[in-house]
Amino acid sequence: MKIVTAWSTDPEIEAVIKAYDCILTKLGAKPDLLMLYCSVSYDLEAVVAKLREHAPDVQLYGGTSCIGVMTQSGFHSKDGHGLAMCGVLDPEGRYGVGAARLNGDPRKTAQYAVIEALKQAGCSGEVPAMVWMTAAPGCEEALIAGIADVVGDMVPVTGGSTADNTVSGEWKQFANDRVFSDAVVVTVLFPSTEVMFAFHSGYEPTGMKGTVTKADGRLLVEIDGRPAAKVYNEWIGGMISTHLEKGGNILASTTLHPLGRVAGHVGEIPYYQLSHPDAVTDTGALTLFTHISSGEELVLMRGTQDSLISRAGRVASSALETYSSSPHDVAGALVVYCAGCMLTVQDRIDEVVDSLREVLPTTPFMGIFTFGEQGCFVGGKNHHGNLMISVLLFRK
Amino acid sequence: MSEIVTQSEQLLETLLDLERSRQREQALRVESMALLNGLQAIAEAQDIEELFYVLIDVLRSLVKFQDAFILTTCDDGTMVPAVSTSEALKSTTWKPESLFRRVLAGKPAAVFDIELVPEWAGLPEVACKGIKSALHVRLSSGENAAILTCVHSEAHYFSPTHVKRLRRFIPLASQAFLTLDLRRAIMQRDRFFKLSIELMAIADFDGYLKQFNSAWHKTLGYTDERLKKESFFQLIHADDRQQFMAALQRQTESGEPIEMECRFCSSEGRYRWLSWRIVAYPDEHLYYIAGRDVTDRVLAEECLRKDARHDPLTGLFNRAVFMERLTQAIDHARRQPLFKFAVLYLDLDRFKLINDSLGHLVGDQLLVEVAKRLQNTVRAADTIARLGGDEFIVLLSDLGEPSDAGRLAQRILERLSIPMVLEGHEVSTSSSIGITFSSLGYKSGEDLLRDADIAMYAAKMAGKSRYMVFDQEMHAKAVAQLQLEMDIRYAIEHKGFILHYQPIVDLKSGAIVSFEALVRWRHPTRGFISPLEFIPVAEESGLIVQIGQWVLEEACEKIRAWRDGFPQYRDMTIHVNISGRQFWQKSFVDDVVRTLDKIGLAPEAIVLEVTESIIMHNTAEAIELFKDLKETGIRLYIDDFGTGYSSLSYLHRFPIDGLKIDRSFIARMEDDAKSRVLVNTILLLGRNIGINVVAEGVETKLQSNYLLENDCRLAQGYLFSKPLAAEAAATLLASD
Repeated sequence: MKIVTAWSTDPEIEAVIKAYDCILTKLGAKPDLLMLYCSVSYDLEAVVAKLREHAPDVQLYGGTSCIGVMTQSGFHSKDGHGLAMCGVLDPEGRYGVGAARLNGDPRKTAQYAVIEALKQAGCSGEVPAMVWMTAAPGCEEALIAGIADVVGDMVPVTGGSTADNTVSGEWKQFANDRVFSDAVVVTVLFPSTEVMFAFHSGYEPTGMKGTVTKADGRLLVEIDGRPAAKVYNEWIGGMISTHLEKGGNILASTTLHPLGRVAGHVGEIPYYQLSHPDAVTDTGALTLFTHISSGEELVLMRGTQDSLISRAGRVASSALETYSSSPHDVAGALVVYCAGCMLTVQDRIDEVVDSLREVLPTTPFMGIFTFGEQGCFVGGKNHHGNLMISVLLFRK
Repeated sequence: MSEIVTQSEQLLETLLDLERSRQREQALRVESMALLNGLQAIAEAQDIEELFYVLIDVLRSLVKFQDAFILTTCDDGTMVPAVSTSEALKSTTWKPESLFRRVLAGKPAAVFDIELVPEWAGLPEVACKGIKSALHVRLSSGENAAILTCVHSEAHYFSPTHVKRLRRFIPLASQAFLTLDLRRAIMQRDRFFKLSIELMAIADFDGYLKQFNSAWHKTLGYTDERLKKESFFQLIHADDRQQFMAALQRQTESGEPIEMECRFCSSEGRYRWLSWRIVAYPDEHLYYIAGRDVTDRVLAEECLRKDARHDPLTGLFNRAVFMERLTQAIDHARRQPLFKFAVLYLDLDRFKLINDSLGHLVGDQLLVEVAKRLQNTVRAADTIARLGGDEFIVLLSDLGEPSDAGRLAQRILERLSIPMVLEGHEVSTSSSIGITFSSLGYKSGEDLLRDADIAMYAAKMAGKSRYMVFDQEMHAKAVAQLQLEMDIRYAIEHKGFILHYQPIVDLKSGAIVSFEALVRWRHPTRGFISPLEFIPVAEESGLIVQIGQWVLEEACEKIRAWRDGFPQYRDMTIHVNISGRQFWQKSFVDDVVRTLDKIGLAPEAIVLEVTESIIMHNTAEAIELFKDLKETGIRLYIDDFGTGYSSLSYLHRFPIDGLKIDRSFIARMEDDAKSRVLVNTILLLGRNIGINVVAEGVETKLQSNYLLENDCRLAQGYLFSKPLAAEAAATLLASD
């Protein structure tokens, strides 16, 4: 097992070829799996087509990331351009990529994608060690369920939803030579070594809480029988008062104040699945990046810039501790970092990279910034959440 | 505020980490307990079935599966269940595809839907009934590859967590599986150990046996108690022990097994030869020993070694040993100029006659007696060998004076001349001895032997029963003879011989009645060479047979030509001399007949002349041969009559047509009354038994007249004509 990364902020399409050459040089061989994430400023169709020319029989996988990407070398975004590549050389492992467009039942779509991925890996019918998922934001919960339908719900699913820079729907996904704007792509991993992972929120609950009394999918209409935006505004001390009348995007101002739902307990202490309020509708409802249901209890969570910065490293550390491993055991890492958090700490983003490097000082990693994160909580359940961080480590 | 949030968040994350670690620890505890519980039982499993049931009991504490089975590899590459909890699966045959190949490569795999996997899809539906999920792990690889499979009726039942658990458990299971093989192998080896007819043991570095098999008792007679008490090394023959221990020490250092033979004491105190193969394992301070009783072989080899060095009849050394010692003596003499030695080459005179007349048994006894007399004559330090036949050789080491060799040779001659009684026959023999000395500066034993042989031959030529010392003249003569032999061979190949023809005339009429064909050799550089010079060499070398055949063909050709060319001589015959070697060739009669047929000559035209000495060599067989020849119509004469050992009394037994009185009697006839009487007697004998008599070497009118007066009808000699070349002979015939 060998993992290497490469990156570029060169806006030209040739940047992807240079990065791939770098991967080849570092690996000394053709990779068995190649992941590419980039900012939306790149013409992804052209990039993938170019990459495919040079890597015709490699399993390719990836999508867009908000603003830029990060690797062990730093945060990579220059004038809105940034791409990163992660090559996995593991001849004794099996990897397969599959994709399907979200133009119908998302659960079935995910089933198709994962079946195709298994077929690509040459492992139809077999339980993978892990499923890596990248999808257009919107129905990740159904997608996770669809994956579980095929491989079972005990297979860890991790990943992040593709993002753009302005939540304007420019995100894209690709699988091998196919590029989508509304698809789910999955990679089934049968690595020759162990995969280690962790999924954290990193926010603290406050005393503010209420019960969802009306919801529709990702639309939170009422809390405790009152308009959700109004209740939420009260909880956060009037920070979105200006949007209550006309509505509007509140993403940036709510990053440190997500809504939490209890996902489980550690002893007596609950841990939370987060929902990031995205916008206020003109009817006073809140739109979220997660599904929500009536009857669920919501707790106002709170965080700080410092906690968002140090979180990435702590999640990586948590993955190591969970598997009783040391950084020297790790061949490489994939990091999914919430785009909202990234935007909140953008001025100090290098500190996020530093926090990861502190835990994984010699390990190559690739980090992406997403509109929704998927991971496996304590107890083995897969979840989709917001403002989360997911870390996946490959043992050497 | 920010700090409080961060601390609170860290606290929560720490708690989460703790929980995950706790869960993991709990899982590990469960696994460890399962492993510990199963370890003892697995280690004690005696066969695959027992192991299997222990295994699945242990595994069930980790993974709740419903059925399980172990697939093992068949010769054709397929896999079949060796044991199974499911009856339906017991008779299935599996063809390994991608999944099994990966499992056998060491990667456990969980299957969420068996219908999607080729390995499962190839099975009969009935075997898979009720099965949805499976878990496959390798128990062993290679020739004895085995896969443990657990199954469940729920789809998606097995997860990566199960795979991880099994991955941790499998080394133990694999080890148990290997241990089973190992235990079986040890058991089988133990059986072989007990069965082996070879001595097998494990000894410590002091030689005390820790384990040994029953072959020690059977081969050497030791009881177990005694074997345990005595060091292996002390049982090795004292003369062999030091070498054995040294070899063992070297082996211990090099790590290579030693193989060596030594004498080993049996329980009765007798020594037997044992061949050992021993390997030392210094880390264990142990020797692994395998031994085999090779006493019979060693004794047989000793006999063979003796046979290889001795003449089986006389017990003397053979040629090889003699040459070995001779070479040593030459080397020694080269290094030590004062060291001198001599070689005596001895050949019995008339041995062949004794052998042929009294039989091989007497011949052999004679050789044995000669050997004994030689041994009793020479010093113990000298070497006597039999070279073969009736040839012996003596190496006189550390010779004082050359005359010592002569004195010894004389002593040998005297001792051998004393008659001996063999099988009731009193037999006398003598010998000819050739001597040569190291002082001639020989570099090779072969040269020395050659010269001693030449000297012996010279002694024989000089009249036998004597010794002669080699000198360079002898050598030159031998070389010349060899050259002559080569020249004869060349002459045969290049038609260097010619025939001359001497007329045999009717004394009364003076008419030519016959010719005698006489071979002549015109040497390319030496001119005509006398038959007296080259015929003995041709006889010695055997080339006389080829010459004789050529003479026969040439003479037959010629007489046929003359018979055809001169009608008045159409009944003329030709005499051809036959050598002893030619006469005794098995194919002689056939060769003559074939020659006559080839040329188209009537048998009556040819007269074969054989000397007395040839036919007296083996009278009975000669008579048979004569009869065979006579039946073909060929005429036969005895040549040089009167010179041999023949007795006139049995001449009549030979179916001959005539005889030729040797020229020596004719020559002496004028001055010697005895010769005249002998000639008359022969003529009378001829008349009495009705054969022709030809007088040879008639050179004077007086001789001719005397012969005519005594009724000798035929003669040849210079008086009538010397031998003539073919053309001259033809001219002579034409002039008649």
